[in-house]
Amino acid sequence: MTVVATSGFLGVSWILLIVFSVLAAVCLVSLVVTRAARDVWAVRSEHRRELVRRSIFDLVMGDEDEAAAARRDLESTQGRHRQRVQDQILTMLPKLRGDSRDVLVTLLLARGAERRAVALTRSRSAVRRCRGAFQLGVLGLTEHLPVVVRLLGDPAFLVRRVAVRALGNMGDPRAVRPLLLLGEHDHRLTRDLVYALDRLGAAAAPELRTVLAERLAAGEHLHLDPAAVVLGLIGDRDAIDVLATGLESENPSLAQACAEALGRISAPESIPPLVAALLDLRPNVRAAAAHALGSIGSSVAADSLADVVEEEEPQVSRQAAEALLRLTAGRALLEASGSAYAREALALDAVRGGRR
Amino acid sequence: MARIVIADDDADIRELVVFKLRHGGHDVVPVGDGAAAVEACTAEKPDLVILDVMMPGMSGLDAARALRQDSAMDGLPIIMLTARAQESDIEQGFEAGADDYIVKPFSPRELASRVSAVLARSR
Repeated sequence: MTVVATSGFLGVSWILLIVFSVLAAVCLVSLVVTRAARDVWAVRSEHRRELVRRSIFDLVMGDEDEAAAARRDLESTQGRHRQRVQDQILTMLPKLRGDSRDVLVTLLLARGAERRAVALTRSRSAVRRCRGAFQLGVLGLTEHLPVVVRLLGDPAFLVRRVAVRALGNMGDPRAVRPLLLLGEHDHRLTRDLVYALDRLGAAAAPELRTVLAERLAAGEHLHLDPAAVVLGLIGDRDAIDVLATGLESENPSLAQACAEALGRISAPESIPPLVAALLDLRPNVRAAAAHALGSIGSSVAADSLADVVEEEEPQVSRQAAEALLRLTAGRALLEASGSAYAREALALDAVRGGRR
Repeated sequence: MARIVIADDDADIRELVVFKLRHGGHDVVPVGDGAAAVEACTAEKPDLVILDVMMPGMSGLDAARALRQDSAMDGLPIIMLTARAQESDIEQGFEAGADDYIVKPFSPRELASRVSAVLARSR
């Protein structure tokens, strides 16, 4: 009995061992095959991407024959590849302007990209609405501005964010007011707003000035920092008056942004309001005004800055001392000053000079 | 034909520039940041360098200053390629030693014309 039981047990053990070995071998082979297939797919996908990229380059920068052949290749793609070609062109578009961009936009429009983009903005999926907004922005079709402006009120934050940037890419200054309105209520979008308004460039300046002036006159000191920042980035000299008014805004962040913008514009007529702002009760505004006066670089403000170096607020004294370093008459005033921040600025300048 | 170093951290822009310039018969050395551009200029002795302004690590402005301080690079023409087009930004580029300025998004045709003009002036 014992012998039979032992041999039966051994038989079952062998069968189990064989079954497990076979299963392990099957798993191993599947794993190897899956990885190999994935690698092959990745290589083929990269190869196709490279071919499409080459065709796009030939189309926009090649000779006449190369461009014609590339157009035929790109137009003949079907199915999944068609979508890939469109995605690659859309990625390339924001980097180009002139004829090259026009050629690609024409190709996409002929393939129905406009209709599909508008349809995407109405999708129930937030990701698809993002894609729609991005595509309309990249294509720069201003007739669809209202469609993208509507997305500024989208419940999904990401869609609002993509719509803000898309409006910047569309290049239509009618987008300025809705963008600023959104920024007043959604502070998380400040950087995106600055990007978008800056992309609109000088065309946005008149509307930016108007909105800023209207709000300041009405005593509304909402989150209009992006308007001030962008007027500075654009270097809009016509904005000096409204930015000078903004220095007195109740909103310290807006007043600071106005001072910084005046510094970037660097016009001598900004000196009187900036000197006056050195007496503002808020340290961030005084520091920004000091920095701006340093950027303008006129010695007219030297005495006022020298007074500020003596004050107790470290950030203000440091900015004033740094600003004095940039003025012709400033160094002598720093050397005559008993302030620790004046000595610090001179020492730092000596170190920088050593590095130079 | 000229030897040109192009430094831009955006691979698409770099490839667009490389394609356009090679198509025009130039020998192009692409790199991804300012430090690599300075190294490439030292090693390759190019006829022209194109520098993006905003790059990780050493910026294009810093690279331009470094090249201007190197006596071995005397007279090397520099074109800045940048997204910032305000007067003050352009002024900064010229102060750093740039000979010309191209604003992004860029037109490949304009790029080729400016490269030809800068090369012609430097010869």
